[in-house]
Amino acid sequence: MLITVRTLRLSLSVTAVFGMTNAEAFAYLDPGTGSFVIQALIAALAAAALTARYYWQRLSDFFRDPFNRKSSEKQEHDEPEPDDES
Amino acid sequence: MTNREGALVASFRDPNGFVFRKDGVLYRQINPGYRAHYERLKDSGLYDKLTSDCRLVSHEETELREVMDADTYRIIKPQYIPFVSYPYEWCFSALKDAALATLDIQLDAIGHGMTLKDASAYNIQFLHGCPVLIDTLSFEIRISGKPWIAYRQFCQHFLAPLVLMSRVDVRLSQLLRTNIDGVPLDLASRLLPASTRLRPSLLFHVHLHAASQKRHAGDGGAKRIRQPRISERGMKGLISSLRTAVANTIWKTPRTEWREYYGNTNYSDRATDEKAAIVSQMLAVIGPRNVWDLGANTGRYSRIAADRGASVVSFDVDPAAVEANYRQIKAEKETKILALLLDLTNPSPGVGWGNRERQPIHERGRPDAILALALIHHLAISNNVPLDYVASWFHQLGGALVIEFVPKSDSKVADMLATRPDIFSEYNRQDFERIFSQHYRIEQAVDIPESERSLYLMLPK
Repeated sequence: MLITVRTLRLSLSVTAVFGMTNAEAFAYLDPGTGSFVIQALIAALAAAALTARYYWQRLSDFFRDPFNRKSSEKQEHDEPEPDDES
Repeated sequence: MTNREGALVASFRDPNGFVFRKDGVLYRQINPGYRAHYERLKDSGLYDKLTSDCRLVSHEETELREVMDADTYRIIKPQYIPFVSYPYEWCFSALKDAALATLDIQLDAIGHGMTLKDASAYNIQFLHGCPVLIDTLSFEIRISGKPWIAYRQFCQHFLAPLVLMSRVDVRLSQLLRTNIDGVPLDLASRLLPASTRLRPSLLFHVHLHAASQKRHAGDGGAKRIRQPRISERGMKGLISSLRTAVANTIWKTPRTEWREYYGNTNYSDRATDEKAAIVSQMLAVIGPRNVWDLGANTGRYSRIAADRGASVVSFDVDPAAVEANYRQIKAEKETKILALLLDLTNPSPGVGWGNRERQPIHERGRPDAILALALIHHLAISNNVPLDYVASWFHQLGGALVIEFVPKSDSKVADMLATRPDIFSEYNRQDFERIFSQHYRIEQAVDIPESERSLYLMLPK
């Protein structure tokens, strides 16, 4: 659930990004504001897709074999690493 | 070293160091500002991992005390790259492999707490048949949440040209020659067919990316707003999405005139075998370490030179022939051949800043021997290049010359002359020998059995 909330928050922050008018230049390459904006959107979508895929997998595993604890433990191991967002 | 004496123009953009040549050896200076990043590259194990996988060029740390000063943190001596090539000389699959290598390096860098601060196609070179990153200073410590600074550059240097080559025309790789920082995304978006908008990865990375650049192009001024934050999972997702976009580009090579050349010659089987044997024997006389095979087609004779131990640069004008050559190098894990696209009547010039940032072909090396097989009639008759110009240019490139003369009586030349007036009075064996003798000493002249053609071994005067 924690991850879902984080993803939602990230998506909202990306929506906010679209209202940005400028980005700070911090390296010798000019990254381009427009490139940052689209990059943030794609990254958010990709993160959301990974999270959705993880929960879908858990859900389908649960309905397939709700009493198989071994499978559940294995899933725990596969859980995506927490975001470094917060 | 502060005055950049001997510094190569190619590295002028990076404030963290530069490449210079001293006594014929290539070095890279690292400035003190890069120290923390360099130490992380070494201490995190990323350097060892990438160099052992042959994805990053290895280096030695050196003590050049005569050039070191307060502005020097380290001077490193990178592994030698026999021939520097540029993305507009690569075939489709070579550019694709270079793109995938860049993304895989970025994924490894993220895993080690670092990131690529640039994603220039010019930072990749082909060493022993594989794409390797040559810029050790491309890595920096990744600050959590920061976007990938090189995302735009990756799309311009790799994704846009690959998609254009795959979806429109493979010759659009030449846009890289006129656009030093990669293909502008608005141009790529305009040139691509509308159907590419139906593929999510192309819709986002090319079309929406171009639209976003346009939308924010007028932004500026003093107002500074914080950058978007991108989680590590989001960053990996972004790289993975780019990887899918690149991996999905394909080029189905057409059956071109040149790619079919070996099946479409006027040689008998015996003449083909004899020609190979004579070329091999002539190469044995020269004993070259570096060979340039001009008009190499898919590289049959390049392989004869490589089998004799030479490093071979195998040039051809036909993208499909170069592609076939590259695919064979990759499939057979051949380490001695580099297959490049080159139009001999318009070879790669010096481009970029002062026309010196990317070197013309003749400044990037000096062959010990040139192979010019079944080539002279294409230059002299199809392209009207005077024989003297051909001899002079070969001589300027350097080294011995193994050249095949194809007379007018040969059916291929007869075909060329069938639809045009014969204005080539000097195109005969006597004048060929006379003109080339002004630059070379003819050591051997051997007629190829069951053919009209002859092979010459010439040494430069």
